[in-house]
Amino acid sequence: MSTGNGDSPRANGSHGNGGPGPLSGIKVIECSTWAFGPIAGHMLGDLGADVIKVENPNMPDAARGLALVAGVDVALPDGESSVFEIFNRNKRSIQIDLKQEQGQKLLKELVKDADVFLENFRPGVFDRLGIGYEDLCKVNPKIIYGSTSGYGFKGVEGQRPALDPVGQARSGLMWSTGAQGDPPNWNTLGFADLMGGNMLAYGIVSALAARELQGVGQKVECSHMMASMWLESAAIASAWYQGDGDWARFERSEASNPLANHYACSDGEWLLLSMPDSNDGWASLCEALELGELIEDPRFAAPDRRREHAAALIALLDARFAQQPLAEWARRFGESSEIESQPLRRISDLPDDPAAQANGYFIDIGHPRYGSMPELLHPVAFGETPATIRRYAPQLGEHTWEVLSDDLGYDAARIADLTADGIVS
Amino acid sequence: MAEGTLPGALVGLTVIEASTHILGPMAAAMLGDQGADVIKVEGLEGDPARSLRDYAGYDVSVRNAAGGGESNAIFEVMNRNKRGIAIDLESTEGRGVLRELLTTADGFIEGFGPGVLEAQGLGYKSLASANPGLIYCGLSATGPHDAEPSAPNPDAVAAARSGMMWMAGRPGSPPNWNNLSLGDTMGASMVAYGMVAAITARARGASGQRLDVSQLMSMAWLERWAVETVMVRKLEEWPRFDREETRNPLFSFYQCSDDQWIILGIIDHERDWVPFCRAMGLEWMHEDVLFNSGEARIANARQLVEALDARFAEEPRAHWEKRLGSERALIFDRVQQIAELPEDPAVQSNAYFQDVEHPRHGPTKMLTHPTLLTKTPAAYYREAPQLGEHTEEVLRERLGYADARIAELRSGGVIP
Repeated sequence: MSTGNGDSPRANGSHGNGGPGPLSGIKVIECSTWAFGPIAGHMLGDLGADVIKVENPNMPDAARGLALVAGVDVALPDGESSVFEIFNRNKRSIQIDLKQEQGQKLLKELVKDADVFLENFRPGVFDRLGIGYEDLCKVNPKIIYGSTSGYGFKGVEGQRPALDPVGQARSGLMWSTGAQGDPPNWNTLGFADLMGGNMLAYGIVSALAARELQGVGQKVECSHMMASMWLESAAIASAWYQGDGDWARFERSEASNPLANHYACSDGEWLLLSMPDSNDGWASLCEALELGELIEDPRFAAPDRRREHAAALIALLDARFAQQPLAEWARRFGESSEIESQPLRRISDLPDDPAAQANGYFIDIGHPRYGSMPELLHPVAFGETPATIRRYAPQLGEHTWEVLSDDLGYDAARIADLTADGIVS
Repeated sequence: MAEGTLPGALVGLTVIEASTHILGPMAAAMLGDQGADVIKVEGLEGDPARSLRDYAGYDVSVRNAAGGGESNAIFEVMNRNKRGIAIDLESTEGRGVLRELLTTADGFIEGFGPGVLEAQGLGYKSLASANPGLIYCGLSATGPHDAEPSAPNPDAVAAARSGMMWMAGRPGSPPNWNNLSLGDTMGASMVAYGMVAAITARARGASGQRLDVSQLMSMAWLERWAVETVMVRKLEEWPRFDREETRNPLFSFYQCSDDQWIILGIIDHERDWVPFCRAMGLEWMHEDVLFNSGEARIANARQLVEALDARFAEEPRAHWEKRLGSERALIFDRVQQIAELPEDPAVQSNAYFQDVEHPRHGPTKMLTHPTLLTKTPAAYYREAPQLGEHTEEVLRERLGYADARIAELRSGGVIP
């Protein structure tokens, strides 16, 4: 085990090892790797749960030390991985060899006093180790057991291995993003993992509510495929509620409302027009674009006309927008309260966004090894029990001693024995 | 309800929803899926989404077989599992009725925009003084502070503002708006998540509280890996995936002879390179100096992409699925369209879609729930309400209004 110094100075002793937040006092044991499981785990931690991440000495979280992911260099200066750092805040780490019977017994002891157990290994792995839901239920009947899969636990693919790309592929997401005529689009934002982790967190918290309200623990299951489809809820409703499944990507040259579309400016930057499907602001827009002759043009004078002649209008707007840089259009549009528009920003612009600043979306956790490190705080702002970031991602086994001695009451001799036997490290 | 299961997680709770389109309604429907008694409060004109015809260029209208009136796919799906009441929210009396409903509610989801209800005396603080346990979720485009007037399409604005529009497509291609309404669907999911967290907290002794969710933050949270990596690695921008330049061609996607695409998710080269070559009939690569080691494959990634492009193009996708599937650990899958989902075997085995019978529209399909709670599962209880369908029922049941009061409200134009 290591004795690293990863605790944030903001660690709040009055909540035990967790923090304030809606899940203050909740204890989570997490056996997770990569993104799907870890994301759910840290979100529970953000909400104040005490999260203990159990890693196998021979097979720690695969995200540790990851240097390159889908073409992006994610290595931190000391060889650690930013992927691990981002998805494992607000957790302690203990190393247990779960392949050994004594390690499994130790895990069960931890689960006995826990509220939540979550793992994102391949379906069946934990059952075979004797620490699946049925096993842990015997130790703690009210345990909430979060689990993941690629495609759902039932059916012939119930134990099929999966990673983010297959969730995006199988769910239709890859044909739903990108431009028409392009190949399918695999974006490296990890939608299937991100949404999976978020929906697993939602499911676990729902099960916590069920435990309080209905008195039961239960297994919670989430899959890459279903989480990805959930992101497509509106598209799937459109395609399949009394429909034939028709769905295609947005084609900007044919947008049915040319005034809800994005346009390229002379400097390669883009501007989104976000006008309603009515005549509000139509005249002001034409004037600002110096296209006054279009205001009464029978092809474009009303929304239904603009829909009918969309391609022609878009072509005209394309040509006009391309004549001035973004700043000029933004300036002109800013002079009219009737014109709604938004410059297209880049991800790197987000921390400077005025709303992001006014609403405290980012918090700089000031990492001891990496310095300034702005992170998004939480997707929900809670007025009374806010989310917090209290710990940096733990080093491997950083808290083994602390958890065994403080949480389980083991004395030094016993910890030494377990270490010598290779059960913990 | 399936055998051995209990009622949904949120049975016994009442949630009032006053919002439009997708963000608020979808969140409320998720809570309704989990058994909460959801009451949708609309003005006398109704949620504007009721008259939606066009969604992303598709005609989503549903014409009733009988009974008059029209609806659309978006409204119906986003407002399932709710009762609906209509009140004149412009009038003091109407707002009084809403206030009374909120006195006994557990949750309130409102999308009027920052400051609007406050100005009408229905802000969180005012409601909480009468109902300290109330969990109040305010929705907005960019957050409650420093809010600008709401644009007509806050989801698209969030996509532009968050950098999401620069994420799709090949490097060098124009920015792209995907029409999935991610700010709405992710946002709604975050509302539901926040509400159940606050419900849990309250059940464990905390008071009620105010929550805030915005499309901008929801979008940022969905792309948060990229956002935070850009920050911590001090990158100028997040690079889009380039399948021709990728250094790991085994974590990429390829087109087959029938124009169908397949994606590979292979990262453990030590374990999987040999089985992969076997499945693909590419054993010659073991001897080829360009590809016969990990370093060589990275150095010659472009040539490897070309070789794989050529090989995949020789056979239809079903052939490759069979070959790759014969090697147990390889991670790969077909790239599917939304059109193929209901017939998908995993979708069917896991009941990810449900067939529901609408009393006026007949049989139709919708997604079930994003996560499965095995003992207290989500369910479909009822179709979306018609405008004001349950006004009288709710006022009698929850507020104890009798005939005279109802008649008074009706003749005063406060309720339809």
